[in-house]
Amino acid sequence: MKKTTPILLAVIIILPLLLLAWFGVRLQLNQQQVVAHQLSNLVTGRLQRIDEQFQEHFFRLQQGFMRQAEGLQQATAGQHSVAPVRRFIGQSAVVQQMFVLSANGERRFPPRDQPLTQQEQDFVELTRKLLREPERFIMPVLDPVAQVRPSIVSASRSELQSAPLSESVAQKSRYSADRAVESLSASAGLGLAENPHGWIAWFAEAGLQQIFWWQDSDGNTIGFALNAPRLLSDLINLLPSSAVMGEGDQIADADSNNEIRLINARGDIAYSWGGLRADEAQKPLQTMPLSHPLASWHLAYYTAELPVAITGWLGLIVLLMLLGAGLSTLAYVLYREHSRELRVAEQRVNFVNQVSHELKTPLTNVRLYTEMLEQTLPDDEPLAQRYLGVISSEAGRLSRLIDNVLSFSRVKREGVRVRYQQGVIDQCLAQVVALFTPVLSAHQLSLRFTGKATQACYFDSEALEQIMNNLLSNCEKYAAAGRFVDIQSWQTQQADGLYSYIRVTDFGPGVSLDEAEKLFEPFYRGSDKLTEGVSGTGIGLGLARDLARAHGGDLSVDRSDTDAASGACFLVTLATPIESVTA
Amino acid sequence: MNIQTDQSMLRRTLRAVSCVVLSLLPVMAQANQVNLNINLATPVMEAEQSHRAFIKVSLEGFKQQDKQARIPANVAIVLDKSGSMGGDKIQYAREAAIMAIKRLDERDIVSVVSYDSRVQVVVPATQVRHQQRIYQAIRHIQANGNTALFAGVSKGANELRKFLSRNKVNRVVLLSDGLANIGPQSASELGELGASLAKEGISVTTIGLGLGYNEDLMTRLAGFSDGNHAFVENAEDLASVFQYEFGDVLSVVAQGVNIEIHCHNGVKPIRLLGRESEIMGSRVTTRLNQLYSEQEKFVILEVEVPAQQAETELELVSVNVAYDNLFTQDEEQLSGQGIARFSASKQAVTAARDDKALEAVVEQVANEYSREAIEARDSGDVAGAKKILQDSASYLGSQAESLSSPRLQKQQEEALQDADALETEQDWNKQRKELKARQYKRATQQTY
Repeated sequence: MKKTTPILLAVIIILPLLLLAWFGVRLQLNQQQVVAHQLSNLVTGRLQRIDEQFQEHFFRLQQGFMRQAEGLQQATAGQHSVAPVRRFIGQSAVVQQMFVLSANGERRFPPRDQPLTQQEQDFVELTRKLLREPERFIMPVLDPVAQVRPSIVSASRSELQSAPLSESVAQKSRYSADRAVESLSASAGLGLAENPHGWIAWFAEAGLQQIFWWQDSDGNTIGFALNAPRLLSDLINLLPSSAVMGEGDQIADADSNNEIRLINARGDIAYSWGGLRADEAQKPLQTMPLSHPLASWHLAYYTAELPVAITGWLGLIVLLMLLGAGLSTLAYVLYREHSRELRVAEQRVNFVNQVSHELKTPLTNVRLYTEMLEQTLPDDEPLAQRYLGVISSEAGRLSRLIDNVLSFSRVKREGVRVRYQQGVIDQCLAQVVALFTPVLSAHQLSLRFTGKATQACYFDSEALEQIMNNLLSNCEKYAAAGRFVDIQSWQTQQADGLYSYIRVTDFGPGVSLDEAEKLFEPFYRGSDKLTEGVSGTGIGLGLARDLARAHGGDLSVDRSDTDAASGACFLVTLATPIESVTA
Repeated sequence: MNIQTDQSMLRRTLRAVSCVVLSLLPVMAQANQVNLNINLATPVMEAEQSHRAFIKVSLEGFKQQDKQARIPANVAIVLDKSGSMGGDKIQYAREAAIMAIKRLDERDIVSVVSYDSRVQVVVPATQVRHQQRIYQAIRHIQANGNTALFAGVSKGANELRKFLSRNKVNRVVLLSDGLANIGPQSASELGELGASLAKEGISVTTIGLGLGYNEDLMTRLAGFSDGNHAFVENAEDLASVFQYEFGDVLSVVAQGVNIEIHCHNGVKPIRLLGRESEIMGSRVTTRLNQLYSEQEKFVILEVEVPAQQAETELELVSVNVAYDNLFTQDEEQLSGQGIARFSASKQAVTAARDDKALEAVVEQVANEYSREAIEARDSGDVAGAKKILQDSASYLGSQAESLSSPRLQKQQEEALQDADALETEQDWNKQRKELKARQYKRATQQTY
């Protein structure tokens, strides 16, 4: 009792705390996942916007090239003579070189029949393979729906592909950029894009080289090779620069704890921006490959360790601590209350013990003198004799009651001690029967004793007496209507020694099955119907059973005799060894 | 008869020379116009044999008449603030930039970009009005990180583009003390970027600080965009270099100069000394991004002239020059021709020699030697490089003597010193940067 209470209280505190902590942590982790997911969505969105910007850039270039190509076509009457093309290359900052293929796949520029500059020679060398396959540039003009899919036109090798920019981007920038284009050449604007065109990206020399090609109305294919460093420079200029440190290092923008890198086909950083300086070992939170014609490039997003939702964890911890403190206080109050009650109960028990003890001495004297008086009183005074008998039996009863109380408290305090002495069970029983016969007969109950336990053995006669006293006084109290009380005793020799059995049967109202076990609990007193108008302490049966068990036996409600229809039947089992035992 | 022939020869000689030298006399009369001169080092050549001839095509910017009426500048200062710039260097760089900006006024646009592994636009393109604010921003630049040179130049050029105009001097002034290690880092890639920027009228001046930068990259970037290049060993000298540079910027009189040289009559172009050029059959083209007030810029074309009969004249080349005159804001054209005469008399040949043109030719030829020497040294051939420089020195020596030119003498001494300095490995890094810078200056006739 003393130990279980704190444990129970601790469980009461810890269990809800643990539950709450578990749920809280789960919730927090979920929330973090949600946050991480949102962040990743945000990052994807951001990277996609960058990609779209690049696509728009290519689209603007494409628009420009188509107009310029048409301009060249008109200026040279479809011949693409050398001088104007060279002049165009000389003036265009973004174009490195150009080629013009005639409808039958013949190279018109760089010219075959005229001397070439070093650059042109290099370009011819570089694009020899590409230009030898003019079917690369024959892409049927598809309806817009089909054009959405970036069709790879007869790409014999994977790095070599030609595809239009994705239609969605084209649509989008048509609203923004194409206004200017249309106003410049209203007639050209829409018709130009219907001619076959596309972007080719392939690895040349040191990196990715982009070519835009367009087929004019004469069937000439005009290719614009971009100046790769210039393209990168333009792309870099589309991207934000980093914040300027200084002015007290106040960078409050969203870029302060991340870094985005533009990584080229070789895996080198082409450009990076953002407030964070990720080290070599750090893994990017996200990478996204760029769309054609920058397909082998990608963007990598680095971020500082995920911003932990400190407030969430803090809230949880505070909540847990508050709850813990509350529960502990509650538990402490309960515990104090409980222990105070225990103390009071103990004091009461002590008080009862002491009172019982105090009662014992005068009672002994009362009994002694009663006995002496009985002996000295002449036989011819029956009235006095009768009165003395009542005094004697009541004193005996009181004495048993006090013994019970004292035994009970001793059992609780220091356990049951059994003192084995040699004797005969039946003799002991006979004494008890003799003692109880007058008491029971006063209630019109007659004892029928059948003793078969006649073998001498070692047992605690006091304990046996107490057990029997309790059983018989119960019969007196509850089974007064039964007329008879049967006591049977017998002994059996078993493997581990001699066992003595005593069965006490009455013919009273009996004990219901449900109640059978509860009867033995201290302070329990059967059903109201039964206990009505009957005094009792409620410790008798429990004490009797404790004694019997200490004696290596048991006290139980016997059911073997249920055919007796009514009445309670208690069976006492005692281990009664024949040889002396030291207890 | 004899006299007659003599007379006619004299007349022809005179005509030839006048044709060559003064084909643009009427133009010279105008003040605000660029001078085009086409000089042959040897206007009279020996007959009956083929020659290697050198033609000097020079352009001289007219005088800026009024200091107040100068061309507005649009300058982006791109400062390296990588970790290696820490300490004094960045401080000097900041002060140099501030000092340089002090020379500008409200007409001008300035922007300041700094870069390490990132690029920061310190001062977005703005009119030079609230100077203190600009200085304040510059003073906040602190050094750390890597060197994203390419991105820095890109962003600088982008700032220029906000106010890009043919009527302004558009220039990126790049300061770097280290190797580009973020983004493109090869000399050819930066060269291509420079070429692309030049087409927009932007030139990039590169200033290499200390001994850590890549001089090939820096000279190429400057060369393709026709900016200046300087090697500054000590950061203390930055201020003066910036001053020179801004002096140059503020004295530009013409921009976007395209020079097209056509060779005629079987004359074959061999090479153009000093500058990047395109040779295509008999056509040679090159471009200068700007001409400065009262400064002569020239290119030397080496051609092969087939054997001719004596007493004949031959038009070797015709030259077309187109440029934007910043004062009249017109695109102007110039043209001229180079005519040679052939004579059997050696005396006539010697007498007609154009010493000034020849001096320039020798200077550039020796400069080419110096380049070859670097190439040889780069490939590990120290002895070969040394020999080239010594040959160059003796060539310079003999020419200096015959032309009695102290300039060539000085160049000879330099060549000899360079030859000596080739040996030691530890000096080579610095030597190479010095050589590169000097070659660049000679080739582009840079004033500082």
